[in-house]
Amino acid sequence: MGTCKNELLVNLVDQQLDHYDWIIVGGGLVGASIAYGLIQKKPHLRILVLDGEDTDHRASVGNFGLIWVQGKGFDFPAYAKWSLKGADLWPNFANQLSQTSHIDIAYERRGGLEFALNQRHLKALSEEMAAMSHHTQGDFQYTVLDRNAALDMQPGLGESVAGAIYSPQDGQVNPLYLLAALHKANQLLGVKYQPRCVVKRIEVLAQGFDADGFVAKKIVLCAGLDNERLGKQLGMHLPVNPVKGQMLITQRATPGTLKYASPQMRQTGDGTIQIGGSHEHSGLDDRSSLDVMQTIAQEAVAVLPELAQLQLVRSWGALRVMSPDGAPIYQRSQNHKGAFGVCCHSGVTLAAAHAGPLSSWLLDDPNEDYKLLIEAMNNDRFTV
Amino acid sequence: MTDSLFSCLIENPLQCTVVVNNVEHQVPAQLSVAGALLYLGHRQVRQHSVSGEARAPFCHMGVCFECLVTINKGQQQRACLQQVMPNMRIDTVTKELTQ
Ligand SMILES: Cc1cc2nc3c(=O)[nH]c(=O)nc-3n(C[C@H](O)[C@H](O)[C@H](O)COP(=O)(O)OP(=O)(O)OC[C@H]3O[C@@H](n4cnc5c(N)ncnc54)[C@H](O)[C@@H]3O)c2cc1C
Ligand code: FES
Repeated sequence: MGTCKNELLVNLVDQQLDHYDWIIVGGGLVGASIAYGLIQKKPHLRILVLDGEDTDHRASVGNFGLIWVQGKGFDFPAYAKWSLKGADLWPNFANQLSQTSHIDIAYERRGGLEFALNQRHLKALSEEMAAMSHHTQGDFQYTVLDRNAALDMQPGLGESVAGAIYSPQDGQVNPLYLLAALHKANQLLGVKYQPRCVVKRIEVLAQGFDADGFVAKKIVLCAGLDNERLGKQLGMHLPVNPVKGQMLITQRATPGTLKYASPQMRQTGDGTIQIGGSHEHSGLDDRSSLDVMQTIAQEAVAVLPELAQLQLVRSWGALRVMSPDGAPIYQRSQNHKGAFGVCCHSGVTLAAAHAGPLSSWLLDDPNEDYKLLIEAMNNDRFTV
Repeated sequence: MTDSLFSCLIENPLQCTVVVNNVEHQVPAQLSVAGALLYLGHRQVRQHSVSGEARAPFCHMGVCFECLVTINKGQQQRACLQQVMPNMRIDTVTKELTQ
């Protein structure tokens, strides 16, 4: 029995709550979005979110906050369609979530720019965009901008910028407010949340599952980097690896200093400029380091030289939850009916898709198009 | 600038001349630049770039970045981390990023 179980029982008056319809293991963006989707669709469901320690690696509290479509799944058609659908579902999702939680999550969809530092890069990006447009039957919209066209959209670009890709479908959000809003909405809608409860062992029962003493009919693994270990206990192969990203935050700048979000930098609603975009394979080490901070700062200054005037106020590193091909894994256990695993690198972008069609799929009530997309992203692709 | 809310607790401090927003002042030489600005009665040293709110030194230990000024016409920096120097030129900023 888990140490946290007794704590919860003390807190709960209703003995019934000992048995749940759903247990969600992990309360990051993925788990919280799914819980929110389930309770919205079926308000009577008894849902328990078991979350880990504050010292766990949590991509959900260290990420960049982009709702990013450009380039996602250019070599994986189902993922391309799913990302675009997910971004299209965001405006309604954001609206509803803000109303339910009374938290302004600073969502906006003004489009995004990806800058190319030479012609070859621009050409490569254009090819990826063409592939995405093809996979989505033209629903993905983008424009290839030469240097002058890019300058019209973002004045002050550095000499080395050769051009950019613009897509009106990209957006951004404050990811910390997003996570807080999901948790608050879930609480208001009746989802039970148990923090500091690292699930060690999941047993399969005749009808359901027992996660360190918490029992439910169905279970979804959303434990980020711990999904691989927990998946094995339920016969699911959920391969994920940590990929570190480092971030810098500048002092507040005049709004509109950056006109559009990009994968390397975005201006937050508070005026600060967030700089990121590094990728390192350094295991579970999530510390920031001077050399990488210098590199990403230099890259940002190469794109927009005036950023050199700004002081940095904070930096951190965080670990991405990365599958072998970077696309999400949506897995239903073959051996144990009612067990699922969800791993994904783009948990911000896909939050609306997870609260929407993915939750319907978990409830066995999906629309056929979504079902095909979701099931195309199961782990069969990793077994040769 | 209004009457200062602060006074210097050091008795007979050494004085130092600084130029704040083009005006010469005498301030105790032991003060930080942020301390000197408060001593001189500045209640605002910068403006919030989004809301336009008045801001002033807050933490005095380099964390909050509410005290950014330019010193000797250089880049913006934290006034609480610098000690005043003779003839230092200190300028408070109304725009966070000078364009
Ligand atoms: C540097 C960086 C930048 C990123 N930028 C973006 C971006 O711009 N746009 C975007 O869409 N995505 C971005 N991401 C990805 C996004 O942050 C992740 O996809 C998302 O946060 C994953 O959420 P998660 O809930 O799966 O994982 P996590 O946030 O890791 O949450 C897992 C949760 O499970 C808990 N847990 C772990 N083990 C157990 C256990 N055994 N029992 C119970 N609980 C457990 C943990 O405590 C944690 O709360 C970025 C990620 C990083 C690191
Ligand atoms: S007063 Fe806080 S950084 Fe200077």
